Amino acid sequence: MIRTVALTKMYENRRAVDHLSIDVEPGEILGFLGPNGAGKSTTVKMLTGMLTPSSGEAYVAGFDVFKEPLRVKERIGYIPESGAMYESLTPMEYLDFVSSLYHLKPDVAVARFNDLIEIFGIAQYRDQRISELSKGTRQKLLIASALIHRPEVLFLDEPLNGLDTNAALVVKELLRKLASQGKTIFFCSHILEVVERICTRIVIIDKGQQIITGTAGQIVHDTDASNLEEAFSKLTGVRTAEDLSDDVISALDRV
Amino acid sequence: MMARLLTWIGVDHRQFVALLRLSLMVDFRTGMIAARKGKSKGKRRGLPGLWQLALFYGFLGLVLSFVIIESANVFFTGTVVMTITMFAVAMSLLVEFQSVIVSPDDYHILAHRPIGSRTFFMARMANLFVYIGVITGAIGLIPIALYSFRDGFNPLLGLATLSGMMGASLLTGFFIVFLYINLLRVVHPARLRRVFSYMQLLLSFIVYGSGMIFSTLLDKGIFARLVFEQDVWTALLPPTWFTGFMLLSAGRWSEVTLLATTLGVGLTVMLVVYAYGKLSLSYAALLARQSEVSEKRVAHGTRHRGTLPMFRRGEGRAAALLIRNQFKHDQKFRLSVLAIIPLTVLYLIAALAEGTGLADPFVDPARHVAKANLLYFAMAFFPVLLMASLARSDSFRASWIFHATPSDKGKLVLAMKDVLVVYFIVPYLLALGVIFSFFFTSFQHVAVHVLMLTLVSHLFLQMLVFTNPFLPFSLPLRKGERTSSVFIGILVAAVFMTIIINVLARLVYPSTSATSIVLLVLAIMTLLFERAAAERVRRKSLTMQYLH
Repeated sequence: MIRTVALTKMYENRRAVDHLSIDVEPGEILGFLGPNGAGKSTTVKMLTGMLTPSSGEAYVAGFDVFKEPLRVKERIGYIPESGAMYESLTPMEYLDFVSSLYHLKPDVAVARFNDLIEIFGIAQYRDQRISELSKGTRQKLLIASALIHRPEVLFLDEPLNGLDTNAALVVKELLRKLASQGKTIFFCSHILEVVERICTRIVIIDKGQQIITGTAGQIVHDTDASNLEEAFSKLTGVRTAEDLSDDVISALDRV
Repeated sequence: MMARLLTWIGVDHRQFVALLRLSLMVDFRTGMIAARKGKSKGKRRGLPGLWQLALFYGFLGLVLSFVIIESANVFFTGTVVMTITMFAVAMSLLVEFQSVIVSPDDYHILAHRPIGSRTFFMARMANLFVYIGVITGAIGLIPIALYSFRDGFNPLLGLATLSGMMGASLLTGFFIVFLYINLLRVVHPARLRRVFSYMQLLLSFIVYGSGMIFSTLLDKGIFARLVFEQDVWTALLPPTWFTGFMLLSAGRWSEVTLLATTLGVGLTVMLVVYAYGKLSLSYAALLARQSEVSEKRVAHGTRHRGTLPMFRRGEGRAAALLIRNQFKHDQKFRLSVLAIIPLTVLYLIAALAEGTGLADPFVDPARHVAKANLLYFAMAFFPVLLMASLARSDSFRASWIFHATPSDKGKLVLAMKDVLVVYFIVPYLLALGVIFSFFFTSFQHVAVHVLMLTLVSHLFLQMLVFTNPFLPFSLPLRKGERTSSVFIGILVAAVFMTIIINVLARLVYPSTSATSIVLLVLAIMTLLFERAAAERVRRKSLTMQYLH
């Protein structure tokens, strides 16, 4: 469902993504991890047709992302980390706008966004401007807008940002159920506990390169760590978290 | 019909309508959000930016109507109308609405949606047409009405004026699109935006300058006697290509008129075809590619300049650092402040134009006031401009920091005013002092006059802070507001300064003791007003909230 072959993105002389080759099957939830600046968002942007690669190939839902981007975009849902939306619209207007872009019939669109805003608990904000909504409410709206056209593949970049515990639980359960329906989910997050709990497989990248892939258990085992957090730190951290935090404390105490 | 046509040219009708509706909704609502917040229901929200701009350009049309009434020469007045329309469209696209063409913002929200690049950009173009239509319609409203009733009821001339103005606007609009498309191939969007922003200064210079020349010519009745007919030389001026519509409607056409009009229409069609061909191809990708690469900037080391004691700690230091660095890095803020330069230079040129120089107000007050009154408009306008520029910013959301830290918001507001005085007003007045020193009979006169002007400017700034205290860069930008606020600022400044400078030069400066007393009174007023402003700002600051 998602396949990349030696996918590479260069920014001038810097390789943001370096010969990345991954396969994600239908029904899989792939946790895509890496430290800040590792190339996660760049990869997602290439897979969603937002960025053109410097070299390599990428296929999503059976279509070449770079040759048939519109076919791909019709079949994907994306939650960007930035959470960018048109601030002066109301949630209803925004969902109406998004469903027009996917050619949903007006009655279907209305029925779906009524259901979605009800389920996500944002119905009372339907006529308020997005700029006036809380971060969590905006994130719920963003999730609703990514699901409204029933995509086959979901790209989620930090989807739990700003959500309260209950909403986060709903989203996690929702992702599991979507995966069980055969949808493919590409999940970027820094919250390793969540990744460990819901992802069927994990890919960790650093400096644009894939450094390990496997289930959470396999990665923990292969790195001789006690949990995924420690494994991640071993694979991507130059120094241990303990050393760094000691340095911070002593820097603050110095003057 | 429309849907079929759009489909025929490869545009998705439903997406097109959704995108166009979205952009209009967003633009018409811009700026209203902040006004909405914090105000109870039923209170007036203020006009959206586009309507403010339409009002401003409507006023411009009213000014043009004096020229139309004054001169019987339709070719001349028509060319003036076309020229102003082309300038207005160019300025608006370059300054207020450049985002319609070059902003990658939409791309970041929409790029993962299944929108074809042709649909995406046709919607952007339609958005552009709306702006062009509003600006052209606003400027043209009164002139078109006047032409329609010239020599009796003459609807054909009115219609021809409308067609000419629309043609002139379209040519300008598409020429700017052509410029953007080609420049973006070689220049980073951020740099391009910067270059075009600097053009704002140049355009302001041209607009203010032509306004001054116009009023002078109008005063001298030159328009009534002017001979300006279409010939090969005038046909080299693009606005005359569209004045040709008016001549043709009146049956006053020649081969040159026909050729010039055909050239205008032909060029517009060519630019539309060019834009259409390009819009469907690589523009979107180019924008994204360009935007994703950071612009190469020459790294400058951080310079630590000497800071005045009042700006070395606490709120004073915070305000000084913020405003100085925003001036260094925020293009919009820097340009809006620098807009004072063309205005000052032009007014100075106007004052010196007749060769007699600026008289010393202590020696020849009447001549000084007559010569330098425009220069004082610029001087009084500067505090208004600074305050307007300091209030609104793209980074307005960052103002949470004032509310989340234990800073005294009242002190911050007052420190902001002090920073403006020390880093902007005083250097500006000192520069004027240098110019005065070439014309005044003694250095002492220059020093007293500059001191007086500094106290007056400071008082003016205190009044602005007193009436409307706000935290720096804490309000969102509103499209079209810059043009209208500059316009209102000029009006207020003109009234204020005319009174002050007349009183000073005619009544105060002739007497040394009166001068000393006024200086003392101004100093005392400054101190008293500082206390009053501090108290009011302190009270107001208690209710200031982060509302974004």
